[in-house]
Amino acid sequence: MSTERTSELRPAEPSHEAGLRIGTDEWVAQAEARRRRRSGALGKLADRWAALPPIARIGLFALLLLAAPVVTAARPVLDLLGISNNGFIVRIGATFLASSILAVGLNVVVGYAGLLDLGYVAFYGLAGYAYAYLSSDFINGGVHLPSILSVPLIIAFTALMGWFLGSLSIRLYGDYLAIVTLGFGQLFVQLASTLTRVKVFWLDKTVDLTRGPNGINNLDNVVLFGYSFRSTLQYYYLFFVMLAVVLVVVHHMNQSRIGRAWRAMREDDLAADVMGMPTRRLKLIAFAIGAAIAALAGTVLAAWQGSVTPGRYDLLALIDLYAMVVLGGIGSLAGVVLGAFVFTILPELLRSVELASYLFYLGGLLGLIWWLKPSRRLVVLLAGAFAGGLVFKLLIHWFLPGLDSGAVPSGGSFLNQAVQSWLVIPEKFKAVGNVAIGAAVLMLLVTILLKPPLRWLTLGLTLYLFAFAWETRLATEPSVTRVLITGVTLIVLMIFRPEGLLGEPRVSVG
Amino acid sequence: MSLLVVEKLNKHFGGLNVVLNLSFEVNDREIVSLIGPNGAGKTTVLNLLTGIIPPDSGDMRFDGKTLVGLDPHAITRLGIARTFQTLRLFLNMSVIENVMAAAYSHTHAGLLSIILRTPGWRREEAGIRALAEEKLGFFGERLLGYRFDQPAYSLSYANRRRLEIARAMATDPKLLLLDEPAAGMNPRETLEMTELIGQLRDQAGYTILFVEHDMNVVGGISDRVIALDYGEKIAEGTFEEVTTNERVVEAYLGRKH
Repeated sequence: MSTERTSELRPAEPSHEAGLRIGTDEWVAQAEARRRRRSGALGKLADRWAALPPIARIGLFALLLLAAPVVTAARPVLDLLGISNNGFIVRIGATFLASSILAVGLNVVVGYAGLLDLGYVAFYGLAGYAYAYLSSDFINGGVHLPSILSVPLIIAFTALMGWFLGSLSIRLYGDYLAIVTLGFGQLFVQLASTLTRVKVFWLDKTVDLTRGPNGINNLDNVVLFGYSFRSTLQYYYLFFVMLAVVLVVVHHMNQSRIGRAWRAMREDDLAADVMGMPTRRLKLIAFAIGAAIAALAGTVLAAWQGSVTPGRYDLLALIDLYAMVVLGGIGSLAGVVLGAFVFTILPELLRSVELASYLFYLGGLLGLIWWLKPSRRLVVLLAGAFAGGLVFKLLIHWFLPGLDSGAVPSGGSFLNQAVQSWLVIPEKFKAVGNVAIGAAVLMLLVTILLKPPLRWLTLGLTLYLFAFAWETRLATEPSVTRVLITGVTLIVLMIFRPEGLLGEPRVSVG
Repeated sequence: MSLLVVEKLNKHFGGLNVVLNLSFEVNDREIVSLIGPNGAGKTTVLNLLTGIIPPDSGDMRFDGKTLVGLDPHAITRLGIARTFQTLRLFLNMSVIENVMAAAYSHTHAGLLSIILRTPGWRREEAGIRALAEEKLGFFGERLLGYRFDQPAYSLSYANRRRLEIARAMATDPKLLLLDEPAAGMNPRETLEMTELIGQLRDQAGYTILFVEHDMNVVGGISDRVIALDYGEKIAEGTFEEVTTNERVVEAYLGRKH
C-alpha cells in the first residue's frame, strides 16, 4: 500500500515500455502518463477504472441512477439511512436530473461556444410559461394542447427566441454580452411579475397575461402516447430518458465539425473566422440549441411542478445553474452532470441528520486520503487518533468522572451513536460545542502550518475536535449546517481545482 | 494569369495613411514576397485582403471576384488562407483538431446528420481526419503520430509555426498568405522554412504571397519582390533589382546626409 518511491539515479537505459528509449521525444511525451500511474490497492482500482472504456463507465452510472429509486425503497437501505420512505430521495433525484438537463444546455452556450449568456434562465422560464398557456385553464376557458404537440412547438419557439436574442447581441463579446443578456433575463422575470393589467386597446379592457407573482397553476401532466405522467417517480424516469437523449445529442454535436468550430471560436474568435468558420452563424446556433434544451427541461419541469411562478426563474436560479457548470468543469459533459449532482443533491441530503453525518465523516475521510494518500501513515494516524480518544476518555473517567455525562446530543444513526460513545461529552455540551467549532478550525490551521512530526499530533487533535463539534452542535441544526457545508465544499473545491471537477486546466497564452 | 489583383487600395487610421494607392498583382503559382520596414503597412495589406478590416477605397479581386465587403470566412471560402504574424493557434485544442477545425468551410454535414451520425457524416469525418493527417504530414515526422492528440500549447515555437501553416492548408486554398513565416527562427530552421515555401508551391500547387524581414528567405525563394514604405509601393521586381533600389535601401537603412 505504499507510494513511497525511493528514487535512485541510474544511467539511462532502454525503457521497457513499448521499447522506447529514454529521452526520445515519444518517451518524454508519455512521461505524464507514467507519472499518473498510481500504486497501491486504491491506485490499482483507480487505474482499472480509468482503463474502462467510457461507455462502460457511463453504463455503470446509468445503471446506478436507474436502480436508485428501487434500491432506496428497500427496507434494509431505509433503515441504514435512518429514513422512513424514499419519496424525498426520488424527489431530489428528479430535481438533479432536470437540473442536469438545464446545465447541459447552458454548457453548450457557455462551455462550447464560450458565450457568457446570463439570460439563459429566461428561456427556461419562457418555455414554462408557454406550457402554462397551452396546457391549462388559463386562456379563455382552457387550452389543453396534448403534450406531444405542445412540447415540440414550445421547443421550436424558444429556439427561435434564442436565435433572436443572439442576433441582437451578436456584435458583443465577453462582459458586454453578459450584461445585455443579464438584462434580458431580468426583463423576463419583471414582465412575468407585472404583466397583469395589459390594456388591449381595441377591446377596451385589461388582460392579465401572467397572473403576476403567484403565477399560473393547475398545469396538465405530460401525456405521451396515452401514458400520463403523474407521480414524481414517473417524472424521475422521464427526466432520466430526456437527459440521456440530450447528452447523446450534445456529445454528437461536440464531436463534429460544429463542435470543433465552437471550440475554435472560444479559443480565438477572429482566427476561427479567418479559418473559414462562420462565427456569427455558429454563435446563433449555439444560442438556439441552448435555448431548445432549456425549453425541453422547462416544459416538463412546469408540468411536474404543476405551476409556473416568476420567482422560479430569477437570478438565484441562474447562479445555481452557473455554479453547476463552473463547479463541474466548463466544457465537460460528465463534469456538468457531476456538478449538478453535487449542487442539487448535497444540500438536500444534508437536511437529514443521519445522511449529513455520513457525508461529513465520509468527506473527512476522503479529504484525509486525498491529502495523505492511502499509506501506512494514514492508517497509523487514524488508529492513533482513535486510540488517543479512548485514552482521553479513560483518563477523564479516572480523574474527572462526572465530566463525561453520557448525554446524547442528537438522535442520528448508529454511526452518530458510535462516535458519541467514543467522545467525552459533558453536561453543557452546547456551550462546549460552540467553543469546539472555533477550536477545531484553529487546530486545522495550526496543523497546516506546522511541519511533521508535530503536525500529526495536532492533526489527531483536530479530528477529535471536529468530531466533537459535529456531534454536539453542527449535526443538530441541519438547516444551518447544510448551507455552511455546501458553501465550504464549493469554496474548497474551487480553490484546489479552479477548472472544475472534471474540467481541463486552460492555457491562455502558452 | 492574375489570381489576385489589388487596385489603388487605400486605408487610413485617422490622419495616418497606412496603405496609400497600392496596386499590384499576383499570378497563379507565383511566389511573391512583400518587404518593407516595420510600420510600412505589410500586415495591414494582409488584413485588408482577408477581410479583417475594410478598405477605404480601391478594389481587391481574387479569381475575378471582388473581396471588398466580404466577411473573413467568405474570403476563405473563395480560396485565400493566411497565417498570423503573432501566431493565433487554438491553443487548448489538440494539434489534429486545430487542422480539422479549419476544414469547416468545405464540409457540409448538417445538424441532423451530425446528431444521427449518418453514414454520410461518418464518411465526411473520416475524410476530414485524413485531410488533416495529410497536411500535417507535409512537415515530416514532427507533427505526426503521438503528436496528433497533444494540446497545441505543448508545441515548440517552430512547430507552432508549422502547425499554423498546416491549419491554413486545411482550408483548401488557392492562395496562401504567410505573415513572417520565419520570424524567430534560427538559421537552420530558416533554411527549412525557405525550402518549405518552395515545396508548398511545387508539390502542393499553392500560390504564395508572404511578408518577411529575413532577406535569406526573400532572396532564397521569391519569384518577385514588392517593397513598401509608409504604405506606398516603392519598388517591384526581382530580388536583385529591389534590394539594390535606392529608395528601398534608404527606407531600411536611412539616407547619408
